[in-house]
Amino acid sequence: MATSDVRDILQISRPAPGAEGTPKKSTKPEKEKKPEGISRELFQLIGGAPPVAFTKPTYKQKPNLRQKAAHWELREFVHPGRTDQLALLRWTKDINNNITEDDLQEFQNLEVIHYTDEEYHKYLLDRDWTKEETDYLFDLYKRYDGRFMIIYDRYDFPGKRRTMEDLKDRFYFVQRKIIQQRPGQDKAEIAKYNYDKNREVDRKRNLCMLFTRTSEQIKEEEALLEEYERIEQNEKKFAKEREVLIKSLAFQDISTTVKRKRSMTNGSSTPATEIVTPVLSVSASESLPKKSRRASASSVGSSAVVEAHPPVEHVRREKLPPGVIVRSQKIPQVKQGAITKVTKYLQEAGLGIRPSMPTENVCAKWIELQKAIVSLHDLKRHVEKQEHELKTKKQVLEKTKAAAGGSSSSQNW
Amino acid sequence: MAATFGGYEVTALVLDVGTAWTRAGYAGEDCPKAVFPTAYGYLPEEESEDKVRDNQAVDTDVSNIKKPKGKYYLGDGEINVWRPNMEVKNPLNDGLVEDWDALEQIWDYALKSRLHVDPREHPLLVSEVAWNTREHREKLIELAFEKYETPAFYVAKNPVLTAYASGRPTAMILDCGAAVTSVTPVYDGFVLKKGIIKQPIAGDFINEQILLQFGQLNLNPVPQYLVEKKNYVDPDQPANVILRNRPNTTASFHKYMLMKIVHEYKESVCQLYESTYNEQVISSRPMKTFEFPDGYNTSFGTERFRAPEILFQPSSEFIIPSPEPTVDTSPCVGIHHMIFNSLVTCDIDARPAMMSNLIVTGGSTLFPGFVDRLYHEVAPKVPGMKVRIHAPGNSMERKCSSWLGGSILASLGTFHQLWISRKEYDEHGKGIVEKKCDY
Repeated sequence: MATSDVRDILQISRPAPGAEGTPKKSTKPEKEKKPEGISRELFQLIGGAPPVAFTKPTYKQKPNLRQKAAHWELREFVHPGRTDQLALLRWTKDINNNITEDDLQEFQNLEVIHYTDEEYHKYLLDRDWTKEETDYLFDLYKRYDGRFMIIYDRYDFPGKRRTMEDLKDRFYFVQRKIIQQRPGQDKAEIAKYNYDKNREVDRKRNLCMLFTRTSEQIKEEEALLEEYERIEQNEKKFAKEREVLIKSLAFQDISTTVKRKRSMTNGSSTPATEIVTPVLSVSASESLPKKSRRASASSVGSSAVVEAHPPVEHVRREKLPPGVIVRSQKIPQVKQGAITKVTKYLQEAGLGIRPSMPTENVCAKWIELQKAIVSLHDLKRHVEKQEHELKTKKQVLEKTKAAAGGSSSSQNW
Repeated sequence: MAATFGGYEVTALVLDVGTAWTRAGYAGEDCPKAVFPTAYGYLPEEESEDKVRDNQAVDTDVSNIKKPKGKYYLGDGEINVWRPNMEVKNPLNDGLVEDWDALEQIWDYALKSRLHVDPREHPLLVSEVAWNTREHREKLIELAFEKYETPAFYVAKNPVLTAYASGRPTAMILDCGAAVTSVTPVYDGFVLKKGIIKQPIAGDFINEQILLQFGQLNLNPVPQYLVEKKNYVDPDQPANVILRNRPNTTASFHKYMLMKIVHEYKESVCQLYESTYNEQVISSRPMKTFEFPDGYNTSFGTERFRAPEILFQPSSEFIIPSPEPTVDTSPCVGIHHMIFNSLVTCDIDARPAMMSNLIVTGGSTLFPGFVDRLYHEVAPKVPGMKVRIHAPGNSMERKCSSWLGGSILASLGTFHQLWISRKEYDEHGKGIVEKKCDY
């Protein structure tokens, strides 16, 4: 079948007769050209998908030694952040190129609101702080760009020992006060300088307490936390179960009310006796022997609305697997260690592993038999053990007797 | 092209004079161009008169500086050559410069003989220890501007530079070098001076202890300069060697050469146990063989763990009492205690950052097992915190971290406004160094 037939079937229009041989070339997307100055790896990351096909290796170009070398020049430049016109030399390639301001960013100095002498005497007097010391603090603040960690480290004012909280408190207090008092200051700025010294001290003290814990304390804490989580989870589980229970009880209530309603419409007996009946039936089934109860459970059909939802305990005790089962499957398994022994005994008695006719009576007897075999086996083992022990004890006794006799004879001798 | 990497390079020079090694090179490069011992050989004047002055570089021709009295021998090639009566000295004590004439010689050698530069053309960045005094810094700036006439100068602290080298502005720096082990907290590029803790138990002290250990083992190492010809001997057999006659050797030269053996032994054989020291477990580790310059070779077992253990347990259990003690070890504590003591001086808010940026540097931290052991000891001391140790795997980076940091710092565009220029120095005098180099 020629391609033209396929095309006809798929109803694809015939390409132009001239372009028959080169359809692929035209569909291939134009390869994007790599701009100068970007490395290949970077370009592949930003410029479209990398080529899937195997590309022909290209070899490094031979250096063009005849070309004139690029012109580099040692030129002076002055850093815009400097005030002293220090001219440093650096190599530059292009003569017209100058370092722009944003290449050499200057250090940003922090804005500090300074007080005047008058302001100080009016608002900032403090018994603990002299003006000299406050000046010193502000000087350090400016010098270390507000890094209190370093201000605290370098703080060395004669005759004073300050904590970091003292320094911060004083500084922020001064800032707040001036903003408050000086006309023309943005009052919203005050929020920037809020500082609660007592709270800070408390916080740091608590952190220190955390820091000084020993590893045992940390382990204990973790264990407690785990325990707490476990308890909480249990609580949740319990609450969930409780909720389910309540729901089912509520359902019972609804069903009883439904029944009551029905009976009321019937207009027969009093509703009180009707409510009592389910409780009575539960207690009755409880008192019944197992077998008959099972029978009753199976016998309850859709006759009574209440009995369609059998009591909770009943369902729990009788775990019936879904689907059809054989009664012999319900025979409990012998524990792992005794299986071979039990089967051996059964074979001796000419029986199979399972009862051949598993009626209810047979199964019950079978279970009894199994139990008997297991206990017999256990007893046998116990007896053997005791006998062995007796034997060894006797040997020891004889030995000691002999030794005692020997020693006494030696004493005599 | 200003935006390309290294566009701000002003061909600054970086000079880092440590107790054991001096490093010099250009800013912006990834390793120093010249690394040579700081210790130097010295011949007093009368001996050097009759000798031909072959090394012109050592004798500077700057006329305004007084001529050195004796002859200095600098660099690996010179100091290891035996010369009668040549003393070997070290200009540094406790990380601080004591012999300024010698320091000048070292600068001369580094700049002129090794880098071959004219210091008048290049800004100069010099490193210093964190506990450097004001007088020392002022002398440094005087030397740079008066003698070398550099256009700009800056002096930066080693821990800050180390922090720069590993790209962390806030860090706890453990520097275990030759003479001093120090722990320094750095916050936002500033040294917290209250947290600096140092003690003299470091590489040199361990070297001396190893030498004493050799004495206990009845080993008598013969330095290379006394060996003329050695022959192969089986392990533990006495050396079969022809010795040279080298009269008038000074005690300091002999000791320097002895220390070279010990140094090699330390680097090739010694090791730190990764967890709490336990001799029984250690004795089951394989032994390592070492051959002395005279050909005698033997294997070392638990001994090779004992000497480095002093770093963590500077107690009488490991320290062998020396007949002439050079340092007082009684107040010394283990490295992990130093770190903890320094940590508690820091503000509680800064502590977590310090512990998650514990930077390890210095040649003596290159013992195999050092970092594991450090973590094993430090982590239980701060149970509530995350401890992260940063130790460059490259030994060059660990030995030259402060030089590397200087190289990075001096090639930053923003740094150029921090240089102390000649003009500023002329205006304000030498006191400006304290004001402008305040990190």
